[in-house]
Amino acid sequence: MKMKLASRRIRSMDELAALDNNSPAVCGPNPSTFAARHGIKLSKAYLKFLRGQKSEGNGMHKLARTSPKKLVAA
Amino acid sequence: MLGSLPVKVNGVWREAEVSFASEREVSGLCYWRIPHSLPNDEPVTRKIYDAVEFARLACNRWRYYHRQQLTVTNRFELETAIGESANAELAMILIARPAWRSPISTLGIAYLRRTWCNHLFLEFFATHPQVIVQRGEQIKAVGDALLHQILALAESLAAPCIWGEATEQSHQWYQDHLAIEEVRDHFFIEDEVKLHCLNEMHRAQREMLARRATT
Repeated sequence: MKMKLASRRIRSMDELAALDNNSPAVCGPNPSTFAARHGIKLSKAYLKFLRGQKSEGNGMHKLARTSPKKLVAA
Repeated sequence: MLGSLPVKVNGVWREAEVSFASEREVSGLCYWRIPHSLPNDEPVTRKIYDAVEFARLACNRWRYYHRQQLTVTNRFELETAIGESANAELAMILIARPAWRSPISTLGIAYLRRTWCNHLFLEFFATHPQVIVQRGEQIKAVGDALLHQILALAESLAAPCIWGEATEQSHQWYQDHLAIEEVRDHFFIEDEVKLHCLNEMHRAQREMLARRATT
């Protein structure tokens, strides 16, 4: 696919560095996608971090706190 | 060493050395650690965790190729492998190191593959957690240094295209740094975009050499 240039002006390194204020620091797919694509396991520490991110307080996983649906007798 | 490129340290331009990672350096990626005290900024914490995880995944993936003798650790090996088989699929990790005395040994890594048709696939790049956390030294333009070195590598291999995946977090960075009108979930550095990026890389090298001559 052809990509179009936004500007042909050759920028200095100072200009490029100024664009780095919001650098993503990590560029590429996210680690989960990469690991799944190549069949690599994610580390326990990273999985724990992801669970912590999804949780709402108490560091407990969101899914773990939802009450199971009550079974209704037929 | 593949080359030197400028990075900004505490507002002053210094030089970073970029080279192919050796087997020992790849093993060292598994020892990237989360800093003891993390900033309160959640996106920054996320970047740190992602960088550490990517370093481990890169190490893992590189070893997979290494077992099949499909990795290269210097330019000579790369050229030899391509000379032996023009369609060789080769994995490599580029590593950026500070050329000044610094407590941070590695600034960042880029994991890429040379595909069978002589394109370069940038799988990902990540900066070191200590660079992300910006406590001791504030280092900027590591991404540019790696990207420019990948461009130089593509130029030396006469690779017509560098491509990769962009995410919600990184598409804007690629858009700004590659001067592409719009980047969504992928980018191609080829034709006029490649020429433009090479011109910017050559300008960065000229600026670095000029600074070297005056200091």
